[in-house]
Amino acid sequence: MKRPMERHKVTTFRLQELPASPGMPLRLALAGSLDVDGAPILMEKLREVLKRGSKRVDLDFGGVTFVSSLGIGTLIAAIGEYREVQGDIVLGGLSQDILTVFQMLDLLDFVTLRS
Amino acid sequence: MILLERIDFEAESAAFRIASGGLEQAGADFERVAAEAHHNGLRCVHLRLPGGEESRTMHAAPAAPGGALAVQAAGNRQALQLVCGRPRYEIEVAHAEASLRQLSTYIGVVLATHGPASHDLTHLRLVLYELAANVLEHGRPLGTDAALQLGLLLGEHHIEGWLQDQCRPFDPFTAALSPIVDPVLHRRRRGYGLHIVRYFLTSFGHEYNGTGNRLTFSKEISA
Repeated sequence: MKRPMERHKVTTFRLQELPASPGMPLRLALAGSLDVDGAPILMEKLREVLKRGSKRVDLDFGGVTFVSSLGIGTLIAAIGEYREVQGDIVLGGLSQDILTVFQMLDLLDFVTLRS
Repeated sequence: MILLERIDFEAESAAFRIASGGLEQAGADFERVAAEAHHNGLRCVHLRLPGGEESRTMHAAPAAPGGALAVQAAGNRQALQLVCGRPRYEIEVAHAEASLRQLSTYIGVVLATHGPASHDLTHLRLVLYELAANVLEHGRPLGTDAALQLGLLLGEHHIEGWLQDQCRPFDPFTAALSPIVDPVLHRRRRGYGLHIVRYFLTSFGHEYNGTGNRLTFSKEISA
């Protein structure tokens, strides 16, 4: 067998709030698996950020190796809560593997991808 | 020469009864038995002996490309086992939602350390996670000590496996799916795992074997 590719590494979910830049959305760097364990952590953080008044959040998926259907459902729910108050969640750094799942679930026109 | 009679068949294994002859003949003739197993696309053949044959083990050099071959007889279990095929990984966990993390970690580690290098493994890991999550969250166990078993056979271009639960009948491959509706915000928050499962697998099957649901699946792996 060949050696595994880097992105198959198994990691638990991690979340880090990055220092804010003036005039830019608050940025959260995500890493690991966004699954049944990671999804509630992300939802709690996004609600906390919204309560603090940040209506736009940039989620950096650069370190995310795995997103389950529950993780996707959580993202949809969170985006809905932000848009209800005229805010939004921007997704960046999504791997092609994750984008394929988003495409399959017909979500590419729904989510806002960082350009 | 022994005469084998197939008495049971599953996706990755079959059981044969020795209709004539005995263990000595089986040992001497195992190459023919192995060739027959490969010809039938089998990974594992169990030869159940009719009487109290003595326990013994026989090994042989690989008889097929990429396949290890061993003929084993376990007299106390009245069974002779011929294994030929790809590396096989199995795990059993308790039927509890908390087992999902253990199972997910096992799947991730096995695929990462023993699977071929392919982006398809990311989607296979997702499929296995969703299948297991579906069983552990929604399955209705038949007893208090129910378990869930996962098996994987890894090849360079093809991976197959099975998931065996101890629950009431449920076929995730034919069950109604949560509709993917527009607008997205009108969708249910959960229930899309089975969309993912059916989309990314090459083939899948379900049978209820009396003790639970047995799901079999395969996925072709691209380079």
